[in-house]
Amino acid sequence: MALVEVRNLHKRFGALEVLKGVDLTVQPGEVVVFVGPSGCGKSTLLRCLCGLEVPSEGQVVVGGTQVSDEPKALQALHRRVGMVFQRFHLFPHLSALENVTLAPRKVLGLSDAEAETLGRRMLAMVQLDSRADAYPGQLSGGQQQRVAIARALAMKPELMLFDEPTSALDPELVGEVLEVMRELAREGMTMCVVTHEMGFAADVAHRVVFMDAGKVVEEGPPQQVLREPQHPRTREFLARLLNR
Amino acid sequence: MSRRRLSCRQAHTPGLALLCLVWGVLVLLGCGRGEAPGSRGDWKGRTLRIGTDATYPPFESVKDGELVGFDIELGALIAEELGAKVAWTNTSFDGVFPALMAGKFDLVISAVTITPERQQRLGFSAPYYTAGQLVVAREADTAVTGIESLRGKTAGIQINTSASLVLEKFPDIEVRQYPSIDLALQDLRNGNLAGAVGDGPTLRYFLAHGFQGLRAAGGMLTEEHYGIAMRPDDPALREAVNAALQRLRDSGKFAALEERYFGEAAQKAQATPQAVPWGKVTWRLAQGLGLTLGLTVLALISGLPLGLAVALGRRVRFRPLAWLCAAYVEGLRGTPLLVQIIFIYYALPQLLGVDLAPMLAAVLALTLNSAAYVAEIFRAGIASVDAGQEEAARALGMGRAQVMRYVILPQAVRNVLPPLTNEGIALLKDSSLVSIIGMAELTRAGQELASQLAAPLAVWPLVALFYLLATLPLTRLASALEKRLHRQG
Repeated sequence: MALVEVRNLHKRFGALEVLKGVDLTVQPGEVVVFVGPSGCGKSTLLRCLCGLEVPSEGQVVVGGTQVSDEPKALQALHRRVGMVFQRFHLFPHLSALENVTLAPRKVLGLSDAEAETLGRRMLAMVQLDSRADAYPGQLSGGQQQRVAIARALAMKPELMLFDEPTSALDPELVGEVLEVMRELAREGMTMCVVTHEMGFAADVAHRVVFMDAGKVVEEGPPQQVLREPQHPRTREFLARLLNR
Repeated sequence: MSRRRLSCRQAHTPGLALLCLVWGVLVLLGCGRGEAPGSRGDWKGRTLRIGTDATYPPFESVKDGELVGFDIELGALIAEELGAKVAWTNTSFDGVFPALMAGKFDLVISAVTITPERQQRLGFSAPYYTAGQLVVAREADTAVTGIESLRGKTAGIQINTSASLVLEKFPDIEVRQYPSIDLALQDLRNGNLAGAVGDGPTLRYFLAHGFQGLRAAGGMLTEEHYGIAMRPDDPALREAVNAALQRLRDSGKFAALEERYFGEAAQKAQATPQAVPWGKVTWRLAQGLGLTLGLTVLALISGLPLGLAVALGRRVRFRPLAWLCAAYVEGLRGTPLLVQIIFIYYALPQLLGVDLAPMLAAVLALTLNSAAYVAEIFRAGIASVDAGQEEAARALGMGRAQVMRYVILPQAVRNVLPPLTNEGIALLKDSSLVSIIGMAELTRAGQELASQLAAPLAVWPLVALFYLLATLPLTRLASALEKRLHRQG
């Protein structure tokens, strides 16, 4: 059974329609990379998958739970889906370890000791166990994003969403974040990634989805979509990206 | 005293106009009706409650923490005649009549001049003292010999006093009004006025106890009578008081009292200005500061959580509660604190049928008022936290309350420490307004001392210094807290 099923998804903000009928299926263990020009709706699609946005029309079903505006159901969905933001959104008043352990303690009800063990393990996974007591303001961008990934993983999500996780980083810090994501993919995590990192897409993705103007234009294995795009708009977009 | 007249028409400041408004509401509500314990006429063994504004020597002032003066002794004698105990309330003159009408006490003995306007609203005893208006000028300025010689010049009076009745007849004298008569005398001494006009006995007292270089110019201009004020619907009390006054006159006790305060010996004793007793002044002001600090701390301790609750209340999904919280903020921010204090102390007990002690009413008013400002500060602080913080916390599965408590609020509190400190300092200073319900906090203590010693220039800078001493630690505490929180990066 598919982990994610999106059928005829529309999302409107006032008069602006950002998603104009998206259909999508993601199987467990699959890594899907979304590409497309900015404003095409890929970030909004991701936000619908984790329940930060509620569909205006159509259906989003994640692990059998339908995304609706019912608070309890939404909260239950949030627990099962991890989200990594472009701008990290770490909690600045908490140390790296406290950032990771806050939700396990308050949402999952772990004891302080259990949460700390878990938190240190998660930080070790992103190679930041030595910075557990540092506050976000004392960490580099790449380190912050790795803490953010550890924070999401600590909730043991079935699905991880990455919304342009490296776009806010200095170029030399991009590699460390992508390396963590590669490792995660190797371990079999189901991932939906919005990114402009075509190298990552080519190496790691099982499937690349090209979106434009609120719709899925083309999708398929990375070799096919990135090397031999069928649709003119995909070709145009990739040409611009490579010639940058 | 022929100070503030009661008619709204002649109220000269917005504050007093508001006061009249509140008083009007009280009268409309029928406050004080039915609560006239004196109507039975027999006071034996009961407590006669008397209000006064003890900033008016030699009639009433505070000396070494005790009420002293002609009126104070007269009140004691009358109570003795009635076989009653006496309980004094020392409150500002603004508040003394509303409190009388609200049944907080039975009599006002506070050098109250009997005027036609007052007689419309208040009951009065027979006159007990004859006073009049007096002109005061600088000793060196021999051109001023009386009211006529002030024509074309500027004269100072205390705001809303019957001195203005005299000056109405001299439109070519420019009138400058002061909140208290000692400030007019100070300005006269500084050379900004040609003369000052006010109640004779009190002006003479001030001339004798300070204000060297000033003199009385001419004799009394008018004849005015002081009476004991009471609620108008209490004829039995009025008869009892008048009978007591008559018995005091018959027995010679009244004459002896007059002799002690206004006889030749008293005039001679007054003629030697005294040095400012700095130790006593400092002690009294320290006591006032203690009350000011106590009020401020209590109001902050309860105002902070209440303000936070209101700020959070404005965010709840249940709209009526959010509207209620918004209305609370607008209502308390949009009305003067002075009016709120008066309303809570005088009107609320009447509406709810409970009697609030002045301390409780003062803390309640300051709490409710500061909570409105604190709520807005917290609201701004919450809004200043990046929206991504809430999204990130929600995406981790945290509920709304958890997001607020563990993610948003800790950051908001950090952001609002400077404005909260400001609010604390403002509250500390605003607490001086509770003197209207008789709380002897720092400003009121300063008022009492300035008039008792006839030395405003000595007292007020000291009052300012005391306020500064109180605010500085608050500022230091806040900045230390800020540093501690920001060290986390």
